[in-house]
Amino acid sequence: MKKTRLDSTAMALIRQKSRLCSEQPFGLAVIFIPFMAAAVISLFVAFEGTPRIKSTSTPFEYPADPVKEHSIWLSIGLQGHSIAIRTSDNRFFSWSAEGPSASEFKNFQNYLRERAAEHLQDTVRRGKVNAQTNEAALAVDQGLTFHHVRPVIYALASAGFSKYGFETRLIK
Amino acid sequence: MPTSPILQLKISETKKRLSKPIFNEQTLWCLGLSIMVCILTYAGRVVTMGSSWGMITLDIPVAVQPFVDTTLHNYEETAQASIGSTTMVVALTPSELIFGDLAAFTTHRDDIRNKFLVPHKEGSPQVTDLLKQSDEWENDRKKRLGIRPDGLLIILPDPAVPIAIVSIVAETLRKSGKFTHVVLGGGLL
Repeated sequence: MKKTRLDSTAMALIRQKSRLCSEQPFGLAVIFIPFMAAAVISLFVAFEGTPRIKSTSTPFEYPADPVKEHSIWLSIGLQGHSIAIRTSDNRFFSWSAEGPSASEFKNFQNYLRERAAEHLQDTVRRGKVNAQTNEAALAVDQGLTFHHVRPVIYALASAGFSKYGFETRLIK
Repeated sequence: MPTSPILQLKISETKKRLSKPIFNEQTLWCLGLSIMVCILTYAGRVVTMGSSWGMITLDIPVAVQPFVDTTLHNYEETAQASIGSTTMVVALTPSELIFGDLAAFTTHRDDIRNKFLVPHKEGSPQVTDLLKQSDEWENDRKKRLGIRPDGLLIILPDPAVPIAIVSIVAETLRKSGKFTHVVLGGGLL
């Protein structure tokens, strides 16, 4: 008799447990989780793959020639009172709007030299020279003046670039 | 017969434990909505960013370094053009365009007769007027001094001029067909 009572209690416990477990406390949200995860991953891929999304600059509109192949892309914008430079490989450089300090300029210059050297190595490996690919594309914010961009042009010249271009938004 | 109090306690404990999820439905919906807002923000950014980009190309002058190729190719590199004292210079200031040759902006800077002014109209640089006047100036130079245009142009923008105006002036001058290389200079003056 005692054993039967214990059995029924155990059964009640099990039933209670299974009832509570079988309930869907998260409801429809559980179904959306994989979709949300997929969206976040695709967003991350797009975000990391396109440096333009992170860029703080809005280039001006002008019907210039369409963009050709270039070896380096730099976005130059204003962030507070600083000049923010983001590169095509997601590197970030920043200095005061008044101009870079010697060390800030040297860091940027070294980075450009490395990129120029990589580009040269690629050219040698391919065995083909394309003059257009040695261009640097500068996506400069339309609010910036020549004073803000001059250090970047100096750095490009000292890194061995012989051509550069200002990116424009094409009017549709 | 009623169940023992220990078992009842266990039952209530299990019930409590299982009925308390770590994330309740409301939290998950909030989380989902915030993620959706993020996605929509960046999607909006991508859509408004556009996909068509143009480029205004400019040159950086380089020093000629003689290169001796001892191989069978005997490759020889020569300069396409060289900047000299007669190279045309256009200074872009917030109120006018000033043009002349390089000497007029460097060694003969104090001479007021070797530079020409094209004032802006309502803040807009008059590049067409500049091209007309520079044509006359170049023809005159050719007749009187025998100086031919070298196809090079140095633009000296004032630091306060917006980069959009500098680029558009440079592009208009480059597209005029008069110049093979347009260089943006700074620090010469």
